[in-house]
Amino acid sequence: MSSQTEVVSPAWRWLGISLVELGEGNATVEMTPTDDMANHAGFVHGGMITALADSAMGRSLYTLNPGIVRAMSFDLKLSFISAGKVGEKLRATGRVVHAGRRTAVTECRVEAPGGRLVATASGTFAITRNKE
Amino acid sequence: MSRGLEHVQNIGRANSLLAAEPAGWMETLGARIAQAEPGRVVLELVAGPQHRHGGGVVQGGVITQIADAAMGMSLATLQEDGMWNTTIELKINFIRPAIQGRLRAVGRVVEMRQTLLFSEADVFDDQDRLVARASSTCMPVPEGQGRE
Repeated sequence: MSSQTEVVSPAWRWLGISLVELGEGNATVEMTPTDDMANHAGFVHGGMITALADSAMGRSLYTLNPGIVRAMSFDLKLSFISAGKVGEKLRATGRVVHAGRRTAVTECRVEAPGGRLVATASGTFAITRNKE
Repeated sequence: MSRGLEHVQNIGRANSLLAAEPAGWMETLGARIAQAEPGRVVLELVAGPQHRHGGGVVQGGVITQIADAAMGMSLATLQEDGMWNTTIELKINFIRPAIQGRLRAVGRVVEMRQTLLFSEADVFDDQDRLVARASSTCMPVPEGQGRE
């Protein structure tokens, strides 16, 4: 839960992504989209939502025990369900569906305030397990 | 849970899905509808040698077929009579191989919008282990379109 020990990546810092909650096999992150993240229509660009979902899913893998030392997504799929608005905080919860020896399958929900569903996602990750 | 646009709970359609004898591809594949309620449909298939590829495991297309159908039918149970849907995009993760026994594809509605419908399916083996996870996007179409 504490962000003191959390090493934030340059990408997270740049996008303003922060960790909100961790559980075993799940992680919740938040981002408040800025004007710079808008598409032509003025809504949040899908790539920004993708980055947030990828982050939530990737982070959820590091909560597993036995531990994972590296997780890299090699497949991401998103369904954009409603438009994200600039300035409206987006909350993404990533969950581990399955973790094998070398790959893991995760899912994610991205919600706007009030629980409005903005996107669902799934991701497959190449993982490196911690050698006991 | 399904949200978004107001939609009907087509209990009549769920019941008639459940009552129908397997026909067409379902008969060919040996699949049947095991459960149907508004927003959720379960298809079953008893996997045998006819469903396996040269590697000795159930071929991915077979698993995809029951997942796709479970998703499409779950959406149809929240559509009005006279409307059905067609898949425009589908993604699946194969999580563990299946060899034999009862496979269950559980399709559920994620969200119903005006022009696009979103659903997901989990496929389990006879020990309730997750075999595959799928998601799809479908488009509403008039029922019976492209048939006969």
